[in-house]
Amino acid sequence: MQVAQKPQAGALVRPVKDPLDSDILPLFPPRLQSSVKDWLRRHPSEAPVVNEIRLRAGFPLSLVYLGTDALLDTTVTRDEIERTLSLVSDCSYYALESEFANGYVTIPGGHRVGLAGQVAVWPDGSVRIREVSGMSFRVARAVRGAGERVAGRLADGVGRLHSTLIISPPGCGKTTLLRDLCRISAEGFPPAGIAPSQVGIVDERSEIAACYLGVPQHDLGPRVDVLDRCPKAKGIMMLLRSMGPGVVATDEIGSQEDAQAVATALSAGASVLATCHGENVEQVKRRPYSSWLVSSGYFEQVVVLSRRKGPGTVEYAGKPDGRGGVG
Amino acid sequence: MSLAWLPAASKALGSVMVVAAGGIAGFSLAGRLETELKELQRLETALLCLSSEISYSLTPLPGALERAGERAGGASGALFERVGALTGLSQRRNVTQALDLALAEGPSRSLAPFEVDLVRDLAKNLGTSGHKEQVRYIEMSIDRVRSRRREFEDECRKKAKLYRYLGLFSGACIAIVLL
Repeated sequence: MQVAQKPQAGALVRPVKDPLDSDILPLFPPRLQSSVKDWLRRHPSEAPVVNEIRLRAGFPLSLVYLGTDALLDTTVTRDEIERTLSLVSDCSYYALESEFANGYVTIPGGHRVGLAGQVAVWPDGSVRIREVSGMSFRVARAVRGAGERVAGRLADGVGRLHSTLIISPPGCGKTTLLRDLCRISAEGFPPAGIAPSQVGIVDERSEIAACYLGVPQHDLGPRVDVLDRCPKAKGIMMLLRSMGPGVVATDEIGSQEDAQAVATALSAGASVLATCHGENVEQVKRRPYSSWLVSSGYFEQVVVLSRRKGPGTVEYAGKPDGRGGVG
Repeated sequence: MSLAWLPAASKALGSVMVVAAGGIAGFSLAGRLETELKELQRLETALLCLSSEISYSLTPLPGALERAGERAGGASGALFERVGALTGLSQRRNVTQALDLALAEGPSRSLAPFEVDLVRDLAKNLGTSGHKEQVRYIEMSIDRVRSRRREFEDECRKKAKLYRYLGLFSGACIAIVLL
């Protein structure tokens, strides 16, 4: 499927080739494949913005796009879920047990597959999904160029990006923007005066680099080291000790350990690019650990995103105190 | 020059050929039994390797099957290798689909029905559970192979000797009758 949607002003530019056809649909049994393809053919304007496909045993196949969903006529069977799950796990459930315990796996292309079903809790406290009855395929679309509009605002004047916190509610493009800022840092971006840097990414949920077997599936540039599925706080310290990054990037900071690790990275002279859930800067400032990082000046810049004009709409980019920003 | 010796020499040569033919037939039948026994040993090796790949290095199933097949060799090894190459995310096939395709392709036709049935039964459970359960399934298959091998070893020992002697003696008998 070739995507030719005209981007809305202020929103992220969509990639040219949609990964739904190449990466996700081939995993589905033929009946589900043809049902989705048929819907996409009948809804060409919604097709490029489908960001999730949900399979639930005994319920209609569901496509999620732009905050709403379409329930298709096709009812998903348990056997179809099992067949899909078998392919998603590369016929190797045992090799992905820890991922299954976390409730998701990442497939080639960086798409995350969330799982639901009957959970068994083991005496050691670990959990395992025994009977998978629901799967959610979240389409990962890298948007090259998503960060270029804000790169000039975030440049520190000496060739690097300022330490930046990207804030938005879910589904507004924080990870997409973070990913492209990593690429910009790694490749350099002369129009904004950004020189190439060594970039270290701690990708706890495999969403930034979308590694498959340790190899990033997104184009992040030539100077990027990724610690895939590594806890943020541990990963930041590991990167600082071993890889000497000029820029450290991580997703969804929130805990005390995360905040301390970010502060350590900044003290070590690295710029930190991170994301955080929230509607605006004030909401983030009301949270215990992220507020400490923002109010104490660890993050020199914040970017607030919304989906007012489509995912990735930049509502604000500037200093955390609201000075010198653009909205 | 007299050629009186020729009929006697022809008879002797013919007798030797008949005895040899009988012997070859007997040895070939015995050899087939021994090949079948070797194939059972190879299947056991393949299953042991598969179990190690899964339990010690958590190798994804396509790679684990290919490595186990390489180490085992023979028709069982070839089948494991082929199923490994045809299965998984990159091939968009689960294990049972890959096995059906590999069996239809034919290189494993020399496998006995027991071996094919065993691999089919195992394939239904491969890759669908945690590594401990996987190892248990494979161990159950190994037990089946071992028990079949023990039975077959006794059978093979008795029958192989019988086929060899029977071949030679029946050849000799035919030669005597012909003489």
